[in-house]
Amino acid sequence: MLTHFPEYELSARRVLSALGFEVGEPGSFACCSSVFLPSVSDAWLNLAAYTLAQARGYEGIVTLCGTCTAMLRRGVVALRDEATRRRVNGVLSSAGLSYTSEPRVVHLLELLDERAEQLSEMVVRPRKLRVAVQNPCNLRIPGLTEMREDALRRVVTAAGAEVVEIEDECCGSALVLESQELAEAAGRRRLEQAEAAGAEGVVVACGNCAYLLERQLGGRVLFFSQLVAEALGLEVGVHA
Amino acid sequence: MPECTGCCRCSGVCIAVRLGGADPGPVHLRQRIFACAGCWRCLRACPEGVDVYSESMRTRRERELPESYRRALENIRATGIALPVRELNALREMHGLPPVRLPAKAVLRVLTSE
Repeated sequence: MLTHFPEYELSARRVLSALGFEVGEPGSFACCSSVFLPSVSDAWLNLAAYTLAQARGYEGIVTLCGTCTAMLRRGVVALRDEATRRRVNGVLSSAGLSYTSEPRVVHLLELLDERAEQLSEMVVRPRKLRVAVQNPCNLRIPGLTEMREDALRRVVTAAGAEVVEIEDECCGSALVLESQELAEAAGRRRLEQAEAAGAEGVVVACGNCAYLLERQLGGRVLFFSQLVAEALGLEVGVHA
Repeated sequence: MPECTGCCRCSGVCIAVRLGGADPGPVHLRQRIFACAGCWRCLRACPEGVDVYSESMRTRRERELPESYRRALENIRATGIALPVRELNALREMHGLPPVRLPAKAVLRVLTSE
């Protein structure tokens, strides 16, 4: 789940339900800690394990952010080591939790990409928009998060939108941690590329991209699940 | 363990370098180690298969942490979220979302310490 974009989570929940998934309550979760804790210690794994342990009783965790996906998958991989798992479970016991089974960690985009054909058959109100797509970088880490290169394009197209070509670059959002100017320069570059290609907006699959492109730079941004939800005729207060 | 040969293909795909915000050279050894968008395209670009992510984190742990990181870490330790939202559950309720529980402070203290 993401804390800053309730509209993203809401549309995600509606789309998952429409596809026949049973979506649980979020319960408790911890921030994946992004690059923050890994930059100082290995305690990031405790946070990942805390969230992973909440998935007990479910088939998996659906993520909405590229970084959360990568961090939770790093956690799953690290916890395959028995000594590491024992040590982390010692920490989790203070919260009354234990990590005993490996949940599937899947980004909503990967899940919808697997079902792109089913989705296109369910479309009742094709979203006739010309859009550029901003791929979530953290879903394409070798050996960890190997999303299909054209996943976002496939899902957006299934919803009835037309995707215009722009360069496949990072939006630069996390550069804000080093320099606001640098992040804005990167983000502006993306918005300009989209505009030059004739896009009416940019479709994203990560809160970090939306934070920079929409909240900080005022670009017209849509989460892919909002586009899909509207195409499926679901009411989610889409702000396009 | 794959080793860096200094070919700098990682640097060639780096958005921070492209925008002039970071020094060129192997990204996990650079001076401005925190000038990173976290896109990890460098991992895909490395022909040797160096784990640039882990190497970068190793380098970061030897450097002084930027203020932005310090603040985010304080937030995580105090609230469970790097970028806290005020009245999170009120905001969620407004959008028709179920409430969430964040870990208690005592739990966070244990989770975030080495």
